[in-house]
Amino acid sequence: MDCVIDNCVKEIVEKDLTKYCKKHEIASINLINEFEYWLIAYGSDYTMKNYLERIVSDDDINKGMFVIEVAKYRIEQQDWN
Amino acid sequence: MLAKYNITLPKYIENEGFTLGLAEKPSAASKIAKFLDKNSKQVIIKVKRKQNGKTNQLPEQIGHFVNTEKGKMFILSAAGHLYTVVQEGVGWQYPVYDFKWSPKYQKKKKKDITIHDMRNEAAVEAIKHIANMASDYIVMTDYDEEGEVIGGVILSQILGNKILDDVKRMKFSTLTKNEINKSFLEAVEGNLMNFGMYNRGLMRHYLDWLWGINLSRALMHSLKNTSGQYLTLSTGRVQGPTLAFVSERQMKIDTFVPRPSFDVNLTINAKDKINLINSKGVLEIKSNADKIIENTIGQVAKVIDIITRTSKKNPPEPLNLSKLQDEAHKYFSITSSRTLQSAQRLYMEGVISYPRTSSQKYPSELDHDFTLSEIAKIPGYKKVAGEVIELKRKPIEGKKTDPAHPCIYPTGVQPKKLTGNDKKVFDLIVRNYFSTFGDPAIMENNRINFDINKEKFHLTGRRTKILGWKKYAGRFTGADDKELPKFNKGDNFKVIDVSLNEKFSKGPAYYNDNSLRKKMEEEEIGTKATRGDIISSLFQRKYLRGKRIEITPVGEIVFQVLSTYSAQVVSVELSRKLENMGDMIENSVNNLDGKFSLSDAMVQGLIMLHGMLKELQENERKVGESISTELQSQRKIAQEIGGCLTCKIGTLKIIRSTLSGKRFVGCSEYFNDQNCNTTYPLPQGGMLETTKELCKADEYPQVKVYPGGRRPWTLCLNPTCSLREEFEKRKKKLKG
Repeated sequence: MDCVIDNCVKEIVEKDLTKYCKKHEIASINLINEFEYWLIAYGSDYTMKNYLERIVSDDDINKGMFVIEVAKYRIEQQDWN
Repeated sequence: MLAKYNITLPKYIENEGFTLGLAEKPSAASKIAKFLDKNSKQVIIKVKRKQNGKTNQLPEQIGHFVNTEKGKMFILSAAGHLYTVVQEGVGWQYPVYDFKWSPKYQKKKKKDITIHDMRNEAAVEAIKHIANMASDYIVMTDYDEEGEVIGGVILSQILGNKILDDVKRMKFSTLTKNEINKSFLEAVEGNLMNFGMYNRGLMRHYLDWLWGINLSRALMHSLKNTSGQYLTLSTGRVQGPTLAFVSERQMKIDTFVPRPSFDVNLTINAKDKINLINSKGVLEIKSNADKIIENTIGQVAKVIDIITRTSKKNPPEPLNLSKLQDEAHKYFSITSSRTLQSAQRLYMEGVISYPRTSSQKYPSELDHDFTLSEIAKIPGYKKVAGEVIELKRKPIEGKKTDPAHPCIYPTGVQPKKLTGNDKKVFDLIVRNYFSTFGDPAIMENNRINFDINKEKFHLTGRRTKILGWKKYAGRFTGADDKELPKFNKGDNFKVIDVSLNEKFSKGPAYYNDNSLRKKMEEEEIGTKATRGDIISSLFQRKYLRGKRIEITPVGEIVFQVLSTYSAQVVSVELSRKLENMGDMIENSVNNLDGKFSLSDAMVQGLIMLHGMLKELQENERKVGESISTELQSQRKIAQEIGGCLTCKIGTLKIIRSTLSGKRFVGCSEYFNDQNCNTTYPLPQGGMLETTKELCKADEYPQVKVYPGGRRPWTLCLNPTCSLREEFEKRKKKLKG
């Protein structure tokens, strides 16, 4: 089975645990882990939605290509967890 | 043999006994000849080349017949390695363990033969012809592992292995008259070849060849046997781990998530507007920064103390190759391989010492007064060299040593007109040499502390109080001074602007030529002389691309399959183990450390290789399928650009016309009853890569173009795109 990200033809790394290929899975884990630092920085009102939208849309922030793709996918899926 | 050679020498040479000297390059041969005999006579050996019934006078082999203090000598030149390791027998099966040395040109297909190969062939034929007439032999190639192998292999292939026991060796680090004459006399008196270095070099050539050919064939066979496809794939002992460094870095870059932090920008109104630094540093919580802004806005900044500390900045240590490459990159952005090329040219001209060295020590016998007074004759250095002589001091040295060569230093020989990188690298070497004689520079580090409504801010600066070595260093003095304004304790200044500065961590940087070479050095893989070439070969294989080094899809596939099915191939440890075996051979031959022969190293190396090949063979199907699947998906990705903007149904793809052979972008719906015939033109040169980003001006799909040797650029498919028009205008303006 292919990774759920658009145009990614790589296989899912572990079918029962994730829907991403290896690189997108690492990007996804990094996104989740780093959110904690964003929460500390901006306060507890800051939401996952704010976070993902900022990651995707702010051109002045340097971020990985795979991170943007996962963030876009989560926004499309309205996955705010 | 490519052709038949008829070699004729002047009669007076054929009748005389002489010693044969073998130099590494024609320019070195001619320099050595000039130094050993002022009246050296250049002898043109006429080499008639007969091929396909035609006789050519080309190429001619140039040698030097000289009368030295110790008798007559014929100095001939190689052209680097004339021999190379090749497979014994034919076919591209694997594993293959039988190999032999063979003249380089014989490895090539007839259609690929160049004038360079013809010259190599003529050189081998000429050396063969003349070597048999000589009574003694002196190797006078560069004194390092490769030089030892070049000389040793040529003579042993022509005259047999036994001859090496009696072959003499000139050991020099500069192509200057004194050193050449000294090393010549030492050779005549019995200085022999360094068999430690020679055997170490042989081990490297043999095992690198075995590693490369077998592992590369294992990859190619896997692909061929599973999918029937043929693609040139390669890996090697140092190539594998180097590819791993880039792949791992790329993964970190692609999956990087930035972390926010906050800083307060605060400006005071002194004579000029001055920005102060928040003494709490960068803050992790935005509300803390907001609080500082709230406390300082519209307030007064009071100078509460001014602290001055002095520190010493020691002179730079003498240059070795790695440091030279770092400095050339730092000051001039010259790549490591180009720095080495420049240094090599300067060495061949005799103006600097041998550059492939790790040493930070000057030769003990170097007469610095003489060298400095000679440098003083070079335009532009007279005054500074004079000042350094006046110091009457010994230069400082670093800790690193090299068994074969001292550090890199100017010899005092006047260079001919230098230009471009050579000029810059030479200046760097001369200035570093001067600096090593100097006193430490005394730096004054200043800090002014401010209180703004109980919030602490400061300013820092530094000033060179006593120049010391910096006086002689030209532009190579490191960071510039930063002078602070003259404030006094108790001064008050109005805060005129305070704002929040939101920052994000930058993430890992791409490797460039210099940082990748440094990484290889840190991990102790490759040698100072080979690292640059290994990086170049990864580019040639199209595994890597760009000045900001990125791994290509093919490079990534190779790395992925190797790390999955035979992780050792891309591991640093294995490559390092081999380097250690080289050390053991060298120490053993030089009676320093136990017994470890070339054969021991070969046995151990082959055991390691066998293990890796076994892993790849057992997983041949999986390896082949992985590569094939990846190649297919990459081809698909590489061709598809995005949805068609006209029919909104098809996909825009890169298509190559079967009629004209030209490439263009077309809609996939054309192949469905010609439903859509949208096309866009593409540049015909350079590599193309699809990019998912749409053009900012008109939201058309874009492609990235990698023109060979130039900066990549992004092309919007819309021929009337405003950005494209702008680009064309700029291009015309530049051309105009």
